[in-house]
Amino acid sequence: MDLNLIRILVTVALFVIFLVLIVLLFKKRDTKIYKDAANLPFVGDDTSDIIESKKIKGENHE
Amino acid sequence: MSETQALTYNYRVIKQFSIMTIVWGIVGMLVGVIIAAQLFFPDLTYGIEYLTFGRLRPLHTNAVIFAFGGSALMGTSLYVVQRTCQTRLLSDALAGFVFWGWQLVIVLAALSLPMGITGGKEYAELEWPIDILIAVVWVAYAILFFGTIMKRKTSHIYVANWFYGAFILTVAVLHIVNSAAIPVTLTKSYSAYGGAIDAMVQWWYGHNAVGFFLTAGFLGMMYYFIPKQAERPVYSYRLSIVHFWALIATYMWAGPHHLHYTALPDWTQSLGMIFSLILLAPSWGGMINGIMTLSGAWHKLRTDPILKFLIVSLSFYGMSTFEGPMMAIKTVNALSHYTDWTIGHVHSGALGWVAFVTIGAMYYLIPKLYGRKEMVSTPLINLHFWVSTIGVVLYISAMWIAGVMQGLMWRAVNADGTLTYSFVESVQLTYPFYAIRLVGGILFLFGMLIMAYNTYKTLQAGPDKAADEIQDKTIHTDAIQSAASQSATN
Repeated sequence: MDLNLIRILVTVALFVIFLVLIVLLFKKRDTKIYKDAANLPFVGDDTSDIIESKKIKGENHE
Repeated sequence: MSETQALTYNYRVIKQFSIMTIVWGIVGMLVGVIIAAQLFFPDLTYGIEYLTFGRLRPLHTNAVIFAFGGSALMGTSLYVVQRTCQTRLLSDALAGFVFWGWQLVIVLAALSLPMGITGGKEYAELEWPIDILIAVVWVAYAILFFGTIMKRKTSHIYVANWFYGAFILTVAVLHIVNSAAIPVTLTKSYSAYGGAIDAMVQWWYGHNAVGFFLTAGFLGMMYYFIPKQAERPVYSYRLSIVHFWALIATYMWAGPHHLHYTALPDWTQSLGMIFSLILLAPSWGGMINGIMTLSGAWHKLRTDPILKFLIVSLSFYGMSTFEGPMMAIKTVNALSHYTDWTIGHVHSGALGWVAFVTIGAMYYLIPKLYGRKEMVSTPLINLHFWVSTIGVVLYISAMWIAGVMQGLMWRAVNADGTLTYSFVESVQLTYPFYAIRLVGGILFLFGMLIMAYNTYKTLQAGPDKAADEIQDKTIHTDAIQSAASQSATN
């Protein structure tokens, strides 16, 4: 196979993968997953170095 | 004993890196001020070879990028990975090795560069024994970071860790490939690559040092500390994922724009230019995501100087990621390249974006690490903010004007084809702008000294009483919870 053809195919494949990523990302049913993920920095008490799992819910624009 | 350890984060290494961030920031910026002064007073250092511009300039860039920026990135990444994975670092011994190893690299750089020991590659000047040490420390850092992610208690890996992870992996690849060299003596080596290929490898490295060290890593910082300081989650988590993949896929190709109109093949230059233009989209996507996190809470900017630092850093990020693609266009580059415009552009990114987001993150982080809610003086943070903002604006506007003027003068030709201006005429006209830049740099350095004083006072003041109470309450709540779960089991 011609090297340039491989280069073209790889570039196109990467772009298609990127489009697939976007489609998968914006599926409505996953909204809760992303909302929870966005709240990860708010778990625990900031001034303490003790690990605990208190959750603060915040608003997220999904 | 082991039970207590399992319940706490490793804050020791974060404290070490945070303090050194401020120390190296002051050192690196002081060297920057000295070389800026040398451009205005050429005889400033009496021709002492160790203090010439050529030797101090790489010391300045290495100190601010790898010592100041590197300590900030290592410190915050190890903090964020622990907090968002809700687990302690993989190994305390490894954390100690990474900290002391990195400090050793910095000290070796500070000694070898003024002595004139250099590989000559921009932002990769250090000679081969130090390069090997960097690789070893970096691999240890990667094991520490990814090892901590592997033992996380959360199901999801927070987006800040993705950016930090990309920064760590890519910098390892960039450093190892670009530093490949043939040693001649202990202090001298020659690049493993030749000619135009060497130049291309160097700027593939150089631009991705900007893209991954000075951008992806600090975006990781942005995605944690802006939501924390604004007390609201990032505007769109989905956008942050698109931002991540688009940014890392595109940055890798932008390097050739450093080599426009050189011996590099023309198509490679065009490729670099196109990818630099595409980069505008993910860069601005990320900037908008960060700034919009404040949506509905804009009033906080009025009273919170830490948030001012963080949000203004994103404004500078937006400005420099617009300016960068424009300068990558070949015809614009024909004007801007080799002029002080480039220096202005770099500093709008390095001071306005990188230093501002770091300063904001440190003002958030340092009190928390020492059991306090906030720094001892908020007015001093506000003063720092305004002093540095005025400093950056003076710096970059002086360099813009000087740069465009130089570009126009160098290309001006008379009707008979001879040059209108000699080079030295452009140097003469740049003189006042070098003075303005020096003032801007001094102001920025002064801001860092205010920060050092505030930090010293904060450490001296010790933990809040309230923080102790919260800790007691937490332990108390835990005890109640465990008692409750026990009785439920029974």
